[in-house]
Amino acid sequence: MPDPILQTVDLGKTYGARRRFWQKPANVPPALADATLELRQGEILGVVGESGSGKTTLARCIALLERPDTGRVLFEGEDLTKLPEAALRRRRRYIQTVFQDPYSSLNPRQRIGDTLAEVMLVHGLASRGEQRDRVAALLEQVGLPATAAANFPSAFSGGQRQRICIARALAAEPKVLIADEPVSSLDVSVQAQIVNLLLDLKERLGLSVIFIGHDLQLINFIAPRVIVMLGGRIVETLPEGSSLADAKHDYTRALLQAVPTLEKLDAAYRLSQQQNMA
Amino acid sequence: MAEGLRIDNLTIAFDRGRQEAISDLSLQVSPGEALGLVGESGSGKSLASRAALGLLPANAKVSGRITLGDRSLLDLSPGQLQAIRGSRIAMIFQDPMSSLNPVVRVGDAISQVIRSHETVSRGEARRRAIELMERVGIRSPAERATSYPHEFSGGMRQRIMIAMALAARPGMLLADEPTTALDVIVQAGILRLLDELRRNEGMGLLLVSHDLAVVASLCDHIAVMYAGQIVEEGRAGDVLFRPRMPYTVGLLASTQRSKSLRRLASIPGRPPAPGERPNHCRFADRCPLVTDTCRAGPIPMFDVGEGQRARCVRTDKVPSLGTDAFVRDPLAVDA
Repeated sequence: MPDPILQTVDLGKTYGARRRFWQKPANVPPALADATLELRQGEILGVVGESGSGKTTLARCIALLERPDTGRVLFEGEDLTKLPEAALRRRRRYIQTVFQDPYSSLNPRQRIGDTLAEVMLVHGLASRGEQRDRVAALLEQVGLPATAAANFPSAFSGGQRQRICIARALAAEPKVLIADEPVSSLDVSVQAQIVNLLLDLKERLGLSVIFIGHDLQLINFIAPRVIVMLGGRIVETLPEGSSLADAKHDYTRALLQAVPTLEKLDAAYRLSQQQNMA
Repeated sequence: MAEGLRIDNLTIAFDRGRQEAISDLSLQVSPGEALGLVGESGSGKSLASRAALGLLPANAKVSGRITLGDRSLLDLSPGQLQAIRGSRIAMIFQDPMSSLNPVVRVGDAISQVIRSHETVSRGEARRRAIELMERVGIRSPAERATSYPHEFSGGMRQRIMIAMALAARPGMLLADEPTTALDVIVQAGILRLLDELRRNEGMGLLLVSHDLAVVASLCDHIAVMYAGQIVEEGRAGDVLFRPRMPYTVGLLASTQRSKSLRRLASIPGRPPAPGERPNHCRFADRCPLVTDTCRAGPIPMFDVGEGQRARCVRTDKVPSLGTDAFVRDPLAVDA
C-alpha cells in the first residue's frame, strides 16, 4: 500500500467560540471534530455529507486556509499546523483547492492569462518569458483554447470557468488537489465533463485528490474510498471495493435513500409496464 | 377551484427580436397534475414559468397565448394580474434567502399574503399563518412564527416560501428549481411536501428543474427543453426510459454512475446561445446521429406514440443509441 501523502489527526475547528478572554466561551458546536483521515499517494478520496456536516471546514483546514483549533495536518510527514506563516507559504502550492462556485472564485477584472501567471509568479515557478507558454499549456490541459488567456471571466460559461479554476490550481504544480463540490453548481451534462477532466488529470499528473460533494452516488463513482460526515464528524469510511449497499451507518443509508435516482424509478416503471400488459 | 394552465405557441425574444430565448413553446398543466419542465441553464425553462406570472423583464417581446382557466394572462392589466398572483397561481423560487424579507418575522410575512388577498382580522390571519407553517412541516409553528428568516435553515426557509405561496390558496403552483440549493435529505422532504399538496388539494404543479431524477420522482408528464424549444415530451416513464430524442438520451446518460465505465458519459460541446441558434435542428452540432436532413430546415415535433412527441427526424434510430455514444475523451470537448 502506498504511503499516505497527507494525513490529518484529530482535526477540530469551532467557529465563533473564541470571544473576549474574560468571557465564558459560547456554547457553539464544533464545525469539525476529531477528523482523522489519510490520503494515499495517487488516490482519490471522496468526502460526502449534507450542508453543515463540516466537509468544507475539513477542506479549508487541510489546505490551511483556516487554522484548525486542534489536531495536526501532516503533509509528507511534516506537520503544517506548526509551521510559521512564511514557511507555510512555501508549502502552500503543494495543496491546491478548487471551490464550488466558479463565478465568485475568479477575479472579474483580471484576464485569464494574468490569473494563471500570477500563481506562477507568487510561487516562483516560471520566469516572465516562460509564462506565456506555460499558460497556454495549462489551458490546453483543461480543454480550453490558448486564446482564452486574453479574455475576462465573463466570456465563459460555468463549466468553462470551472476549467479555468482547475487550471489555476494546476498552475501551482500541486501534489494534492482538494475539489470542494466542484460540480454542484453546474448543469448535469457539464458536471460529467468536469468530473471526467478531473479523473483524467489525476491519472496524467499523478495527483492525489480529495473530492468533496453531497451526491453519494457520484462520489462513489469517482472515489474508491469514501468518508461520510455528519455534524462535523466522520461517521463512516466506506473502504475500497465496498459497495454502497454495504454502508452500515444509518445516516449513510438515509443519504442513499433520499436521492431520487433513475435506477429506482426505472424499476417502478418496468413494474407498471408489466401490470399494464397483464 | 383549481384551473388549468395552458401555454400556446409562446415566443419570447429580447434585443428587438434578435435574440429568441423561447421559440413556439406549448404546454399544459391540468388541475391535480404535475408537469416537469427539464432543461439546462439557458434553455429558457425558467423564463417560460415566469412568463405565466407576468414576471418578464420590460424589454421582452412576447407572442403567443397563456391561459389560466378562461383568462388570457398576457392580456391582463398589471392590476388584474396582481389579483391573480398568489390567489390563483403562485410561484416558489430557487433561493429562499433572497426571496424572503430579512427584517420581517416569517409569521408576519405569511399573514401579509393572506391579508392582501382576503379581508380577515389580524388574529385570524395569524392563526392561519401558523396553521400553514404546521402544514408545511415546521415544528412548534406558534413559536417559530416570531422568528426571522436568518434563524431558519435553508430547507426550513424553503418551507416558509411554500407556506407563503399557499397562503392565498392558489390552484396552480409554479416551482422553479425549488430544491436545487438544498442538500439531499432536505430535498426529499420538500419533494414529499409538494407531492402531498398536489394530490390532496388537487393543485396543479409546474416543476422546473435541471435534475431529471427530481422531476421524475414527482411528475406525471415531462417536457424536455433545449435551446429555447421543447424537444421531447410525454409521460414521465416513457420520456425517461424510452427517450426518442438524442439530447434526452445524452442527459440521461450523463446521470449514470456505472462503475463499469471508467468515465461519465457527457454530451460534447455546449448549447447554442440565443443569438446563434441555427434554423435547423438546434442539437445537430452535438448529436451522434446527425445527418444532412437534420440541417435541411426547422424540425417539427413528431408523434412517437402514446402522447410522446420528439423533435427529431431520426426517432427510429434513437432506441439503439446507448450510453457509449456519449463517452468521449474529456479533453476533446469544450464545456
